[in-house]
Amino acid sequence: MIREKNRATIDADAELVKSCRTGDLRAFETLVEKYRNRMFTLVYRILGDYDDAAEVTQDAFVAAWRALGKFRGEALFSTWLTRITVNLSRNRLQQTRTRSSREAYSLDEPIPGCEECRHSDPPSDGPSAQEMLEREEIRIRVQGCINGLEPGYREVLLLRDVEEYSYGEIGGMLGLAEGTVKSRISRAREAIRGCLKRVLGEI
Amino acid sequence: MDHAGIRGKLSAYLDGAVTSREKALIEEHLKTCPECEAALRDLRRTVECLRTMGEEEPPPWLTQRIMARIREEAAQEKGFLRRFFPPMRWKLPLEAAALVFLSVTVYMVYRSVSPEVKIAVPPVAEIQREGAPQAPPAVTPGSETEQPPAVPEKRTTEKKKQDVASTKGRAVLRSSGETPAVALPSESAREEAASQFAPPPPAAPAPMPEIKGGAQRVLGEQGDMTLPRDAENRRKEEKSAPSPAMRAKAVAPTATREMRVVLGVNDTDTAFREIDRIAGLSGGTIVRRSARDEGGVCIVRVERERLGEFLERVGKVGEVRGKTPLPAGGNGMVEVLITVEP
Repeated sequence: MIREKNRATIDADAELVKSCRTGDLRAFETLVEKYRNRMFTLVYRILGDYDDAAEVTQDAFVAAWRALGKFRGEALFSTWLTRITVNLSRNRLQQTRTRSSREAYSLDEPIPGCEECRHSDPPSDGPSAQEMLEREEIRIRVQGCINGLEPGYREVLLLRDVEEYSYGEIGGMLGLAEGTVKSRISRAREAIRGCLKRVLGEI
Repeated sequence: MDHAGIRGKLSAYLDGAVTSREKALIEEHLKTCPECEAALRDLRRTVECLRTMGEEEPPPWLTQRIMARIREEAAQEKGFLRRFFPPMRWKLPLEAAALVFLSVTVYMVYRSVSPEVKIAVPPVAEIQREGAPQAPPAVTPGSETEQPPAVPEKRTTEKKKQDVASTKGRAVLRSSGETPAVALPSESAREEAASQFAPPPPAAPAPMPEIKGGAQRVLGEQGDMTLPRDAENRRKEEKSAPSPAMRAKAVAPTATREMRVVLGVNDTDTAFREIDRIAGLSGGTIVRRSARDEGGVCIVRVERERLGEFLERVGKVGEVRGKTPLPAGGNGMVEVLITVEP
């Protein structure tokens, strides 16, 4: 995923946020449309549950709407929204810890709740059906490996390798020292690498 | 840095989060350590796997649900604000009500703090000037019950005008919400008072007791004159009397403690100074005085026993043009209201 950091996007977000503060619901809807998929994906990666991800994504946007008055624009809107989303995901994960650990990756069974939601991509002339199936398989297994990580490791790994935030940004978002972020990322990657080698044979 | 140390730095090395020295050491080690090189390759592929997972497709209703909740929130916020800030459609009526309330308040405050309204002096003195000299100086005791003489048509018209002026004055006093310092006489009393100054027919001189009404009128129309407490109380009684007949009964007993004199003088100032002097000689005190160029009124309080002496001295100051009967005997103070005319 490539993060949009160009100036135009930043300015557009700032303008939309300004409009939202005056009660412009259409402006907020634009922001929802813009960040909906990204936030949903992040929540899904953290929780590993499709329905929970949909609920938490809704909660995150509503929380952002309520807190717009406190948003000072010191960080990008996307960073601020991501922090809210990760915090709510962590809370949900703590509530459903038992279920989540039960749904961690297993070689014998597919990851529940994911199969039915991955058929929306229309077939294209690019990758063949076989290739798509393989990619889907890999994705499912990678998600299974992520689900097996401790929550504290999941967050930093996803923020770094999926959201592509810097160590400093992750530390600021989660309230962690940069060294802690670095070591957690290292351990999380090693764990995923070991898991993938185990489930895929080779990476 | 040994093999384990370098192995632990490979993730940071991948992110370019190592120092240049660490970077050099790691790269040097990787050339000679196939295990670390393989580990680095696996880490690269792991990160690649994570980065190429792509986005998940959220449920199609997600935006709709989010916006439904946002609209609900916004409506609640608006409702909350409405409790404190009424909508525009209520603004105008509220402003109108506030304006009315403010106006009433200002009026009430103004009424409560405004000074007592002074009534303009109606042309009573003119009546006295025209009527009093023609009134017989002699007083006929017991003539209170006699009917006043007929008044010429012209005079009646003037009296009506004066009555209107007097009525207006009373109306002002009442509307001010204040109790007037001196109660005004009734319509009938004023008519009687006016008629006693009218040119009397030779056979039926005007009864002097009715000067009382005229004197009251002078006092009432002075406005700024305050009668002693007993006189004031008496006027209140008159005011509350339900009918002229009852009023006459109420007035009669109090007349014994008060009398009135109309005095014609050449010079008003000199006359007042003289009255001051003779009041002192007779042991009396000046209770109130209101002097003007064309005349004036003063009230002298004197002991009943020395009243005759005092009146005798008054008679020397000027021409006594009229006076009420002497109050009945007894002790105590008598108030003599002297109307001084040029």
